[in-house]
Amino acid sequence: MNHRTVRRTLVALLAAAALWSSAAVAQDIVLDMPSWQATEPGTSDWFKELIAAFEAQNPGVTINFSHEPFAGYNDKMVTRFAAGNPPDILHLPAANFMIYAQEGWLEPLDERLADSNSPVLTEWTPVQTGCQYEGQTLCVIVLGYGYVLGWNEAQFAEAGLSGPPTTSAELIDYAKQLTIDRDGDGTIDQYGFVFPTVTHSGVETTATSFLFEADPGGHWVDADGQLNRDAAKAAWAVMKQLVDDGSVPLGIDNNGKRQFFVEGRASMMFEGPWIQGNINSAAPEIQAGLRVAPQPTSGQVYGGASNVLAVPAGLDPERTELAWKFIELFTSQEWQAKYATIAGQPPARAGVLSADILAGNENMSQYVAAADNARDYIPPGLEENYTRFRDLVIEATLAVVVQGQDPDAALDQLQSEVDRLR
Amino acid sequence: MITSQAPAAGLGRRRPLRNATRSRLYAFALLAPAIIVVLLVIVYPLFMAAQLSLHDVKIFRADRGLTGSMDFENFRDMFDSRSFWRSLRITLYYVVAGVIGSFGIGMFTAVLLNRPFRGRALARVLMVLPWPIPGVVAATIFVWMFNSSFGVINYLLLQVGIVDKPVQWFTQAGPALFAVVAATIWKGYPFFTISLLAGMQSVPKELYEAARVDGASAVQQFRFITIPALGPVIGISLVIATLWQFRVFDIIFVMTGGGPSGATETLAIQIYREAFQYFEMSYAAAVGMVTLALSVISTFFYLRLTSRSFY
Repeated sequence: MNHRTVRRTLVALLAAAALWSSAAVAQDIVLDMPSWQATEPGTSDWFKELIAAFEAQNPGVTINFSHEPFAGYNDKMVTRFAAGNPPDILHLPAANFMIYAQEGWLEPLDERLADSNSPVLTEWTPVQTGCQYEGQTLCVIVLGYGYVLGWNEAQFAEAGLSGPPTTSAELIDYAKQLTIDRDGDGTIDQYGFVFPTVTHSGVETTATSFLFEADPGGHWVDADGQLNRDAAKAAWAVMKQLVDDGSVPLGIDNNGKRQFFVEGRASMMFEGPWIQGNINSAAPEIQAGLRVAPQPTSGQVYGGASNVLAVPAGLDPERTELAWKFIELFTSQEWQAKYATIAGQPPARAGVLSADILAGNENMSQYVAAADNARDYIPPGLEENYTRFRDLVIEATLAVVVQGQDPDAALDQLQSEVDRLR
Repeated sequence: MITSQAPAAGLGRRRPLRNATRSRLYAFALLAPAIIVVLLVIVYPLFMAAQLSLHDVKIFRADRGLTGSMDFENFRDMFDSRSFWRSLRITLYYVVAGVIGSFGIGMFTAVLLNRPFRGRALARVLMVLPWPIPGVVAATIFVWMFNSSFGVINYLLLQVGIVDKPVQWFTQAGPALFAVVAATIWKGYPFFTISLLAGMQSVPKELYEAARVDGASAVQQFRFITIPALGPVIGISLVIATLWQFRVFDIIFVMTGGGPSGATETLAIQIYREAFQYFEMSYAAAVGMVTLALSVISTFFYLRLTSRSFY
């Protein structure tokens, strides 16, 4: 073998090795995407199909879609970012978005949105504005939602009630009629209404729903940081009346609330569009009677952004590009429509729900209407301290509604805490 | 002669000095791994926490470190905060009630298990069973037991006639605090049982025999022999249990999350909430410093109270 042949052979081998190694590197790209919804029936199925489609479009790239429990999810993500080890695709509860934005942990998406003429710019849910921080778009809303009333038609019929309530006054009345001790042993077997009565965000959800009814234009605080005292007292009065009437089981959290409803032990509850998963999980004989209606708060609907997708800042350019491509695929007509058909949730993109899709899920039009009519649960001016403010509202609400504290004293206390926050 | 002796004497002194230095260095070399570990895992984090408490940092980031001026603003905010004083009050109640309850049951069971009877080995196993159960599991068990609708506690109270309607354990401040203290005592008493039982078995039998000869009753033997002989064991056990109680998180968090309306929010829960729910890590570090100070004070208090030797 002469020198030239040896050299050619070596060059050919090196080229083959380089090709093989680059192919191997391409094979090795694994995008990390943790989510608290990775095991949630419906939503996780949709995510998994979306991921499979993305992987088919991008050979050699896989997404590690891993489950992290919701409790502690945000702590883990913040710790990962602070330690310089963020995921490649960030799935996040919208209420936690601000802390990531403030820390500069999210990649601005405006240029990419404009370059791709993204539907996010023109056809997206109005709550997409919640992804803005200091003039930049840092995330894309996955789900904008409004709350609905879940009600048990069979139990209503048994009590002689023809349909769901439309106001809080009717809700109080109906809930009382639907609260029944069936066997006369002194233990209530069926409650008219159910909301969490221990420390849980569902307490704030319920209180804010009634506050919106009491003051259709207002919120918990005004632009000057003053509490909306009359509306807060009216909201608490509704909840306290339900508790005093014995129409609500005490000492349960949000999971307990859902369990009461799907087991037929409570006739009504407030819930987001994810109630569909609860309805689907009920025993067939109970599921047949479970219905969805607008919140009985005189046309006022609690809602906002539920969860978002974002690209962490500072990833290497290839991973950033792939994460963006995943978000692009998610915004497509096809996958937005499948969000309705597979996840059973109202899509963030307008105009994707065909007559067939609406016919396939009898409650979908309710969820869409609720999302369209919803008022944002975050009080203006408190975006950056929303989590703490929510906890203060929960504390004050439980003190008044369950423990019987004087509402004015609770509001004085709450006002002083709000003053400290601002 | 004098001049010729001086260097010799000097040399004579220098040799043992070198040996002493060498042996001291050898001792330090042997201790060095332990000292380094202590410095790294105890002193450095404490120093960082103290430093963090004097800054204004929402999220501590390794890539940024701690920059900016230091002041006592977090401590001022903390002492102005109603929730801090409430948490401090609840923590003291929780620690005192939990330690006294655990100690009382632990002493009672240790005395029982120290007496010979058939099936004592099995009884010892059963008595210490709560000890290895994880806090989250214990808390979940107690959540079910205290459930206001179908919990066994309410069932028993109603059956016996102590209450005429179910107690709402987790929606009222007092009952909620009682429930978390009860779970903590259940989880904590086996530690006292084991420690005190070990201590009791090392008390010389002759002391009891002499006391019986002198006509001492069982109560007098317990009061004047057992308790004083157990002094150091009691002291160390109380210190350890108190330090544990200060940092209990899992039981309270699972059972009540600090509610209702902050009624069970101890300093440990408040630190977690400030650090990981509100991301006010400097403020959380300031609360942590106060908790540390309380732990140190209580340690000195117990040790001074019980460190006198009986023998």
